[in-house]
Amino acid sequence: MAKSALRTMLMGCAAALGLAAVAAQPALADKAHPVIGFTVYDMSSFISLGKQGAQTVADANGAKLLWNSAHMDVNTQISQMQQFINQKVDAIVIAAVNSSTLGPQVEAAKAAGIPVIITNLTVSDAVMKNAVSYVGPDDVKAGENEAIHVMDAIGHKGGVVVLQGPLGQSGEIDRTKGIKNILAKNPDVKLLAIQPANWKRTEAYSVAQDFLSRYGSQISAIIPENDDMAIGAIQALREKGLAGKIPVVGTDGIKDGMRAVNAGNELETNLQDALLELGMAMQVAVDQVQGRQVPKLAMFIMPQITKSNVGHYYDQMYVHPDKFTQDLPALIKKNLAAGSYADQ
Amino acid sequence: MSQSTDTVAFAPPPRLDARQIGRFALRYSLVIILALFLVTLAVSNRSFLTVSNMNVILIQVAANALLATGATFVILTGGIDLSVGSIVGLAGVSAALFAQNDGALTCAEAVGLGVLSGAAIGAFNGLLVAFAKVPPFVATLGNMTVASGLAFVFSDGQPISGLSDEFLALSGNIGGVSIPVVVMIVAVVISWVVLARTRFGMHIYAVGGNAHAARVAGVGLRGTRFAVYTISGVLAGIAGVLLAARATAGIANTGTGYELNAIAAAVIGGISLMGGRGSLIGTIFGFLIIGVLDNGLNIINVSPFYQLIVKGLIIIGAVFVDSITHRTED
Repeated sequence: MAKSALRTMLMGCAAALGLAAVAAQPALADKAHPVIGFTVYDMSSFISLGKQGAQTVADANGAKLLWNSAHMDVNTQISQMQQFINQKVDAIVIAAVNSSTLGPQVEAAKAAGIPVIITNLTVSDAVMKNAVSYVGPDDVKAGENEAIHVMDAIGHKGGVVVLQGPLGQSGEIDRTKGIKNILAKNPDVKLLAIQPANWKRTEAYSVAQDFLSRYGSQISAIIPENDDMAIGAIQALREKGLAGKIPVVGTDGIKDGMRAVNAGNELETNLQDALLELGMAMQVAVDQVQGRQVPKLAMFIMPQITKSNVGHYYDQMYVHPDKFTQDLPALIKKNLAAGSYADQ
Repeated sequence: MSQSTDTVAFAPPPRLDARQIGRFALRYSLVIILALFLVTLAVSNRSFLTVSNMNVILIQVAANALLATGATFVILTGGIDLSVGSIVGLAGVSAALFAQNDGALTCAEAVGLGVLSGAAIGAFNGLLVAFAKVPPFVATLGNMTVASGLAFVFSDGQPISGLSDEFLALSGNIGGVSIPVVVMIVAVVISWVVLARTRFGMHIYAVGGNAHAARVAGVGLRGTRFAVYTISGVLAGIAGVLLAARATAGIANTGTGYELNAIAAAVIGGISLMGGRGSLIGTIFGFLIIGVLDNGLNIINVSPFYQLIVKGLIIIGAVFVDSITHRTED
């Protein structure tokens, strides 16, 4: 009896696999219906949201999206590139696991006549030279924005601490650079400490607690490089009754970040919209395949969100997300035409 | 159910037939699953069953094949090796450090040092398990962290790039066949000969099957255990060097989680985690199934979330089928 059940199970399994396979469309479409291969470093919450944007834009263009995740593994991403080239997709979009590894594959894609678009994270020049376009955030500017708002709030004097992303990631490198650019212009502001908290709330909470014990009232402001770390820092401040008194800034514009801005605990955040960013990378890929002009560099200057304008963005992204998604293809076309890519 | 009971009562021979077919289907369920999957993929997608895609799949499985072969040696003795993923990163970084354009060493020496770093961690595992009697899970878990730490120290957390063309050529072709694939085939064939045709191979099965009986029969438990962990380390070292050439850089966290894929391949292939039972041929099917799944599920565009579920269920299913077959044979 166990065996007949097992047989049925095996057959069911095979049937399911078969169905899944039959349901899939063959690749190799015509230019009017291009096939775009997307390989991303991982299904982070940002990328998962961005996938919806890419799919929406693909549907609007009659394109087919092939989506691969490399689960943070360099070699998996290389394999996925080889697969896309082998499948003869019409274009490839990459959110790279590591900035310096995909050189040979991007070159091979170019040689096979497949344009490559880089998105979300920057890659080394050796890789970029064979790519068609970069669609992604200006993280230096985001870091500068954070620091500028802090400087204004503390009257350009005092001491600050910085919480960084994981060392070596392009987001961390560029945001740190932006923050230091502004600190260099403010000689009366002392950088008390700078330490990674790896984009995480819990780590930022602990590091901020340690900083508060060590430096106490010397700290005039905290500069975390993203919203999650800002929320961790605010939590540490709250326990000391300092939330809203010591300025904290952030970047990304996640839901909790915008709420903290609205509540007055977070001074400013810079909106990085995954739907818009990966959706635009998709549109650039389609445009390139269909022979329309594409920007070599579509830099997202992230909109600055403060208490005065947070309502607009919160409403757009988190109260009526369906409407935003519906209007996304049109917004992307408008932004591409205007050259102001991050407007929303 | 009631129908088959009727058939049993009045006509025994057809039931025996069905039973034989059932047993055959169970024993070869792995091959059947692989074949079914290949056929459905080939029918539904033109780009799957092509020479170039088959080549891509082989290149993709090469590293896991080396690790799974090492895992087979270790698991057959009833042990486990969790450190191989970290060894991949360490060996890649070690080789890359000495394979840079302006390096003083030759390419062969750099490769040798990379493999040697893997052998060293493997031998350390072996010492701990065989001589210090540290449980394999704990010893290799500890060394997983140690090896990873060493890789970060050596590389300072940065990708080690700017490698010589000679080193990068390791990811190229030799006589039209990819070098990692050649290395994989050579390593697997040698390992099969060792396991199936030599006295040392017999000892490995004996240690895993019944260590007490093996010792009474004069098998050196310590030497055998020490050797399998060292072999696993060497194979992981080779994989690490090849992957560094492929990625054009030695990166410390390359290989994170690879140990689980390797163990999964061995287990799917019917290597018993209790030790002493299974064949490297099974492991070969194991890593091929994982490779074809990775490639095929991507080609038919299955969402990454569902891919995780499918792969997990296949592992459970394979082990379940294996345990059923052996229960009926006992």
